Amino acid sequence: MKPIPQDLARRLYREAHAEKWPVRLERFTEALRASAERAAPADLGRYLSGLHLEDLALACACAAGDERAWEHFVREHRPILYRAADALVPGGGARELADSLYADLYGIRERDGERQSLFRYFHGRSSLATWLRAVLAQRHVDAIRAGRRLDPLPDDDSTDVSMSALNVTPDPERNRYLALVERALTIAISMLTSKDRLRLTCYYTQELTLAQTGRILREHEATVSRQLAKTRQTLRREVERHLRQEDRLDDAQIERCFTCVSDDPGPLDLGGMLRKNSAPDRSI
Amino acid sequence: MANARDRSIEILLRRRRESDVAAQVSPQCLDGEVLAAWMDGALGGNALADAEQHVATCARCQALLASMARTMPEADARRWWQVLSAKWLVPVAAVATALLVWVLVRSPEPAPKPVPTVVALGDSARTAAAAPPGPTPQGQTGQSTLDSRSGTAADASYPKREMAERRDRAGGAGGHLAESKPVPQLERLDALDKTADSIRPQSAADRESAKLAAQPVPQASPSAVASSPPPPGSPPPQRQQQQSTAATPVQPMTESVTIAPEAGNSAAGRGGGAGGGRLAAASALEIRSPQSDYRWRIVPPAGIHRSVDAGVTWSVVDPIPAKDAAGQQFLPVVLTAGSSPSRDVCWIVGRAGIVLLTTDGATWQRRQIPEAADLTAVRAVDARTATVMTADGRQFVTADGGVTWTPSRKEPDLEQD
Repeated sequence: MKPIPQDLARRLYREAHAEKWPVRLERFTEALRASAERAAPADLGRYLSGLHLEDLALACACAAGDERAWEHFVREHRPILYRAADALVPGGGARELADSLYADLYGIRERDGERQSLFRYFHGRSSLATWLRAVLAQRHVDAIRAGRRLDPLPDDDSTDVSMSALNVTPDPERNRYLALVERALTIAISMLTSKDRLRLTCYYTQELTLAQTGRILREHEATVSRQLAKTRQTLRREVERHLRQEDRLDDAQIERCFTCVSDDPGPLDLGGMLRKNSAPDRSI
Repeated sequence: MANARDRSIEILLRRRRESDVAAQVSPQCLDGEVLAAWMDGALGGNALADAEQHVATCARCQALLASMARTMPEADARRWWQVLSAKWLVPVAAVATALLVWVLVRSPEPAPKPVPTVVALGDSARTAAAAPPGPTPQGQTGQSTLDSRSGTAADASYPKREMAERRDRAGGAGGHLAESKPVPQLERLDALDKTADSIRPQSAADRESAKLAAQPVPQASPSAVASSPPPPGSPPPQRQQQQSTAATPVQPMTESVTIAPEAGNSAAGRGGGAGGGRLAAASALEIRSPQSDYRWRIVPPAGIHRSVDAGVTWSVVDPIPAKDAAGQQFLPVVLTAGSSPSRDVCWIVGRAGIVLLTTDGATWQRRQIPEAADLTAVRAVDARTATVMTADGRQFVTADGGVTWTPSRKEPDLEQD
């Protein structure tokens, strides 16, 4: 990693208003270097100029334990943290989740005589508010994961669609049709691009709204809706093709397959389908 | 059938099961910093593609991404350019803005013909300076005057655009004055134009420009109104004037702006000192000669500046004579309007009938109309010929450099004010 030119560092230092906390130029330059090292940009000057410099300076000051900076951070960002926590834990416990961050942000632990603040992982690529939300989301998900690992396994671990459907339907052909559709759908999904799969995941598996999905994919919600419809059509055509060509079903049988799905598809591990067969990016 | 099957596919997709978030964290999993950069749009190129590729296969990161998306406030969920469904509007709007800025900041090119500009600073300007902008007629008028001072350039090549801009300005805070009804002030100007027309020839193009500059235009010229109707087939009155004075080449007038004070705002009602005090708070009134580099500026109440570099720098012009030929001290003056028909000639009028004239761009000659009426507008043709208008709408014409003045006919439509 090339060293950051002094004049560039000084200019960014001024733009960041880092002197108001104050943050030493050396410390700020080190933060810039760490950020550039992580992103490895092609154009260093452009990358550094595009950073959220004021937030980076504030994070540097907070990591260094500057009281004024810390007060400013708490005053400005605590409401953001609380709102984010409320969105993650609507049923309560949001404040605890948010407050649990403060100790790590402040850096109670020390290593080699230096405080280990969580702020050192902030590199200015995003705003400080977004970074805080991300850290909070990370904690939330990791807490759920830890809880899941401790949960007992379900008694019936059967995830097979046809088996599930078998218990509720007297039609002997129905189970076969559902299994065929599931397999065809799995293959069709595997042929989608990563982006299409991610869109399906966000919308159907994670149950995000169109706007939230669009936020992740940097698409307008109308585009998300349109793309989802397009993907569904693609999947349907691919399922039809697969049933006809690979499974040798005629039109009536294919129609029966879709009717069975409409009646009751049984439990379907869409998440598993979407994660399976991580195919190279190609569209069908 | 296709629609029904599409619905079946959707049913399948909706029958999801919970993700396996308990899966192990891999080195490719997103951390908070990358996730935040993604959400803020700072992740691009290969980094974004790699992240998408990984998240498409990782239950933990899918859950993380979904949690993150849920924490984002709805208002911030999309950038402004993402809100636009038609993204092509962004470059189109940028180009349109650039054009608009170019048009607005572009200094007027030298007109092909000399174009004297009249900009009057009436009592309404002081009203506007003292009162907040509002939908009242006074507020509108004052706003118009102030705006006309700030813009004012008479660009002969864009009469329609200029007129449209003036109408916009005349709308002021209310923004509906110019379009909804005739503007008395502009009618006065029109009358002034037409009086000036009566003393010098005017080309068809000039007349067209003057009409555009002073809309609404009365159906008949003042001379036509005052005299008996011309016989059928005879040329219009202006044409007659042109024929009678064609031997004398005179500079045409194409543009003018003047906003006269409201009725009742006469000099008697407002002392020069008090008015001058309020005027001092207002910005200077700029007068441009046809050669746009040469400009004059009235700095209330009685300061006059000149610029020879299109307003970049200004110098104080020789002070106004304080005494008459007999050594008698003049009363303090308050200047209200000016007109510069050429680079070194400028007429400036003020209260109590004062008229100042410079023909060399450096020294002032002090003139006086026969009455001590407040003058609110002037339109000059050259160093000898000019028309001035009083606060109550009367006009005086001179053809000898302001030595003698002749009352002009009172325009019928001015009585409506």
